[in-house]
Amino acid sequence: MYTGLRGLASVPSYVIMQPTTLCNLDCVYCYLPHRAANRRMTVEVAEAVAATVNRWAAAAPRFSVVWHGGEPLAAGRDHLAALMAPFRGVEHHIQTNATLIDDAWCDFFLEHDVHIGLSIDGPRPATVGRRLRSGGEAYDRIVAGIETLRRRGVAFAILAVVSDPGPGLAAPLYEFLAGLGPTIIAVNLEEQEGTNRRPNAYAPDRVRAFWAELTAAWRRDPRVEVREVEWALRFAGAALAGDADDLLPRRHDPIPTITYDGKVVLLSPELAGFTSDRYGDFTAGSVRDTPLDEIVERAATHPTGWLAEYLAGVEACRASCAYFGFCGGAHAANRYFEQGRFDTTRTRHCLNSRIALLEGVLDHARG
Amino acid sequence: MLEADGPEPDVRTDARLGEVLAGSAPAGYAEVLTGSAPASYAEVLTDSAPAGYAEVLTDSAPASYAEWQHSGAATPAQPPENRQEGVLADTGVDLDPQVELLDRLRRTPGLAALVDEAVATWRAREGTSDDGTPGWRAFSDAFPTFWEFSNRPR
Repeated sequence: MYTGLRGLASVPSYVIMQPTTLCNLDCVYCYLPHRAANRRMTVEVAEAVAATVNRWAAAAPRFSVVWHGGEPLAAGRDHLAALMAPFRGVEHHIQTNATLIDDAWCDFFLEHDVHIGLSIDGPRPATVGRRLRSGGEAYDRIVAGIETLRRRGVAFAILAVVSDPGPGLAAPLYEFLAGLGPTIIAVNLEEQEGTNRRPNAYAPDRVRAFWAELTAAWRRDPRVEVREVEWALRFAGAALAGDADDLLPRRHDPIPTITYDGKVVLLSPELAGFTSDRYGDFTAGSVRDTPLDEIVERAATHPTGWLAEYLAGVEACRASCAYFGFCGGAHAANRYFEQGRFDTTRTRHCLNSRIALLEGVLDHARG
Repeated sequence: MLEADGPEPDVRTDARLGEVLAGSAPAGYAEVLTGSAPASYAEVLTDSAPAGYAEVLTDSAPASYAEWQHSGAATPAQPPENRQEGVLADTGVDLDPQVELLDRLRRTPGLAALVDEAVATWRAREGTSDDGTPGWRAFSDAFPTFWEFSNRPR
């Protein structure tokens, strides 16, 4: 019955740039390969991307360039500024672990009008998985970075990873995170993907209880936007209004991720840097020899390989899953890293972060 | 084989799915995977499942969701069951689970009040537009990377 998300759009609303593969942290659940290596994007690659992106941005109300690592700040201010320089008319975003943020970086953020998303998983015990390369806890450095942002008036969003969701966690988590003063909180339950093979087969009733408790906490004090809860409520509102089919975008945003060396991975940035016997390196081309718009247009009009398999998987979700209108189909990286293919359907990520989420919100509503 | 330093993901081993992918599956199975098979074929595929298991896996019975949580039958702790679940979830459905879910939402006590509160929060957060619709904040303002959708009005 849902008519959205059929095929790939030929123009994205944002691109993801990998300025360096390096991260100064070594978190226990990180999915990124090569994060110990400092492979930096060249300005030539950024210029090649900007040649297309600037045209896309000129034709759109908003267009975002997301700098995502590794740790983007590990590229250094001068190099990051050089990579940003070719872009025109875009919003820059940086997803950072916050540990390197100081006044000089705040000057940079303000000068370039950068939207900041940072990662912290809650109070110190909940953030224990974020580790320095020395093995020590990164918590104090993260909090120091946040305090610097606040002192300088730089707005930020928070992304929290929860590794063992269950009752009793969500309320203190929300209270702590909201107290840090973010514009929005997003909660990712740990996913088994990339280099992270830790199990995430959580007990469904515990996951539902977590989401129900988060909903209750937000409802008591909705001063900060909570991405997952509010998205679920928007779906619920549309369902009550009878227009749930209007929620899903008509097509998948291709979400081009440009790796440090100019390769383009569509749909799932988590696939960048991996290869498989069956699917190769998951890339759709390289901006070093083909314009980005040609790469995306070709993939959208003639999807092949894993992209075609993924789109078949989306149709299988549409045909079989009650929750399709809420989630739009299992994400590509979750399918691959959990099940080895893209034409499968329900993943553990679906169970934990979509189905249990919606059911948890309903549990809370019932009281 | 992964070149990166992670292990190779599990590869599905369900024999019937492998046959389909290799083009040697019995007639009808591909249709099941694409949701166009007759209902009876899906029943055949689930012959060996415990009673109600197929319903749970295909969400054909909303009430069974709670049962499923506690049954352990579909607990995603064991990879082989995950694989089986993925296959069975592909096998088409006798009922329309999407319609049933929407109906269940409409019948959920307290949900309308919760949504009303959320809408009030959104209005307070962003003000109200001239036509009275909430001024949705764009999730993508903060996390364009991590959500397939924005909540911008379309």
